[in-house]
Amino acid sequence: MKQFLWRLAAFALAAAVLFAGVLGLSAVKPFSGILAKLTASTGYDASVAEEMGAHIDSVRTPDGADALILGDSVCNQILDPFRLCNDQYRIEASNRAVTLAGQYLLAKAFLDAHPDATDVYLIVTPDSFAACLGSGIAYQYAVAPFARAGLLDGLESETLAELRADYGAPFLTGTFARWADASPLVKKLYLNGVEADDPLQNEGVLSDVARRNLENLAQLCRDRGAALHLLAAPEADTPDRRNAVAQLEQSMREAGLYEEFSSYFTSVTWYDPALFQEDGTHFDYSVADMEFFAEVVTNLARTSGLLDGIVLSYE
Amino acid sequence: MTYYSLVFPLFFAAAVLLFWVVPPRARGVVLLAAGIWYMASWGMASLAVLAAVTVLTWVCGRGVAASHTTAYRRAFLILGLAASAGYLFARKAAPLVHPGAVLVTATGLAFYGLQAASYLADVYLGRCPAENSLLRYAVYTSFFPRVLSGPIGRAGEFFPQLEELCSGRRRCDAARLRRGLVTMLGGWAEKLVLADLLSDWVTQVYDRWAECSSPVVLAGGLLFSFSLYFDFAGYSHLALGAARVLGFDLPANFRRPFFAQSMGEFWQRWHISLSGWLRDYIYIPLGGGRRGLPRRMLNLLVVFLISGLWHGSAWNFLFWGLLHALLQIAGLLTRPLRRPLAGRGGASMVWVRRVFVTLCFGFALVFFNADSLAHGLGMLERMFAGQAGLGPLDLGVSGTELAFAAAALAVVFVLDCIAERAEARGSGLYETFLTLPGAVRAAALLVLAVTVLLFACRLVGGDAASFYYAQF
Repeated sequence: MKQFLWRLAAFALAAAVLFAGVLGLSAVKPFSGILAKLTASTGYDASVAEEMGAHIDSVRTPDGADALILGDSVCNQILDPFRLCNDQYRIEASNRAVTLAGQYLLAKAFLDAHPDATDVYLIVTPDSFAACLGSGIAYQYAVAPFARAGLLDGLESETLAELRADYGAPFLTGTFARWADASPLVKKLYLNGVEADDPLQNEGVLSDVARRNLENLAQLCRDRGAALHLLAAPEADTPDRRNAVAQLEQSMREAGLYEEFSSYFTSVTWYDPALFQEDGTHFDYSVADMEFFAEVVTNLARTSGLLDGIVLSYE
Repeated sequence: MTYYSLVFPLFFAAAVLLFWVVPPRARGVVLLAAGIWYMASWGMASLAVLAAVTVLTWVCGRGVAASHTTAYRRAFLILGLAASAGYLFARKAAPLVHPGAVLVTATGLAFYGLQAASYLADVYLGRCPAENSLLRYAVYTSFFPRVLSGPIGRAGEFFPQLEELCSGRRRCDAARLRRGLVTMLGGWAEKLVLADLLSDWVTQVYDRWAECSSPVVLAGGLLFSFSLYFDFAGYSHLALGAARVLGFDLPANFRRPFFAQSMGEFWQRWHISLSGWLRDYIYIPLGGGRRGLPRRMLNLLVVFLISGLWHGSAWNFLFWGLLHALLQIAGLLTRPLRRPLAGRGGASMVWVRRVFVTLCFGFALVFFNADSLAHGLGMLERMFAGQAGLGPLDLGVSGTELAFAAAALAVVFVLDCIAERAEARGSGLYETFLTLPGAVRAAALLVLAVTVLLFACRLVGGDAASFYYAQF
């Protein structure tokens, strides 16, 4: 019996090693596609690394830009159309899944590459302050792309500790991030192993990671001699959205951040709810075009008294 | 929890370890605790129904054994049968009489209900003694390797083995464990690799049959029989393997049914424990084949209608049972015509008969999987209408998956041919496998284990979209 048990253990070990080999193979073409199909992992082949990698590469490229605009998907919607016609402003808005930790890393990378930068804008809806780490989607947007780029160590120790606790230290390395990105199977196994809660449902209106990284971002900008402008993305004039802004204001007051960022609440621009999609936060493309977005940005610039010289036309 | 859930291996390992580590007399308690835990994972309602059926049938079994008059014995038998098989078939029939009838969930009742009924009938007929211990009887009804999906057990084969295990006369031995684990690995492969791959495609064909081309509907209809077979046979092999690891030898539930050369033989190879139960407790008590041809045909009709009802609470299941009854009756009526052909034609005729049986089963099974009779008839009509439509790769299953399924089917076919020959020599597939060199055996099992692990990854996670920002 003892011999059988030893053999069984050896068999289990050999099977585990072989399976690990298959997982390794799953990152190599053409096996990645074949194994993805056989394991029903094809949905995981979309690459966030490419999307976020483009933002990371862009902020790290030294050029004449002296202002950075970061933001969530609403900011991205209104400003991305003018990305290519602005040299002074580097527009790198992404989405709220990046979390404030990701926005901090983008800003840091920009300021490292642009020592003479004067302004950093963060234009977000209140929802972005609720985004936190710990979920699979946050790993995809706020962790893996920065691990690949070797930027994750730029976070302060508390956030790094939170990342290690949530995701496990071996999975915060560039090697694993690249492996998971090349293998839909590995990505599927890992992401489903991480708690897949909606990142907006975890910690209320102002998450710890948002509060910490907002403070860090402000400190970073002060250290680098740049001004941080926290502005509100345009909102639908509905009770829900007004309530979201009011709740954030309350949370900011409780966290002692209101004084420093009160301009966020005075910069809110309100629009007819009919102009928005069903989600109530993004503009409906059937009514919103370049001209409309230019008007929205102009309105934001007027309300905040900022964004001087931003170009809103290709003519 | 099912055999295919990721938590099952942990549960099973813990149960096996405890079972063999505790003193032999405590093994029954371990099995009962594991059975309760397993059934509780399906909800407390299911556990409560199992407990109620167990207690009632045990009491009735004791009543049958203790009664001195036939009337009392019959009364206890009828009461017990009503509480087990009666309750089961009433549940099955209720939605036919009152569409939309909502009944208490009773996972596994279709199996342990018949098991309890067979125990009572056997006690009544003097085939086995009434079990004195409620605990031991509860182990019989709640035996976790088979409580969910069979095979349907018999008291006569279970209690003597339980007695041997609990008295320490049957010990844990390596050969039994090895065989049990290999059987389980085979069962997982059948379910996770073959059944699930085929099912993904077949489900699409059944859902979108009106858009599919005729050859696709035909292939989907026939492949469902393989999908169902590998699903159920996989489960049965897992049950047999798990039971063997725990020291119990259960009889086979499937014996390469598509190698049958007649529909009669098919039912001796497909879901053998149910066929045997229907034969011993319905067909033979009704008179079987002893009361002339018309009565025999009527008995077959009753048995297969009951079989249809057992499989599902809808008219299409009854229709499926009726079709099989008609096939059996046709087989009976044409027997004099076929008798002179028996043994002629050599191997090619053997394969012709096997293909014929497979086609008969496959076409009848269309009604088993269809939502309604109209759905089944519509599919059959489209199979032969020569219509264009969606091709095999238009149904959300990749060519890679279909090619792998085809390759796996070819491997299973070869293994089944080997098993069929081995059985003709009085041996079996496992015994043939043991004759291979150790290194070849180990390599084959490693490939199988890694394949199972790989396909188990299909069970992980749901919609990938939840990991991608899609609100904009």
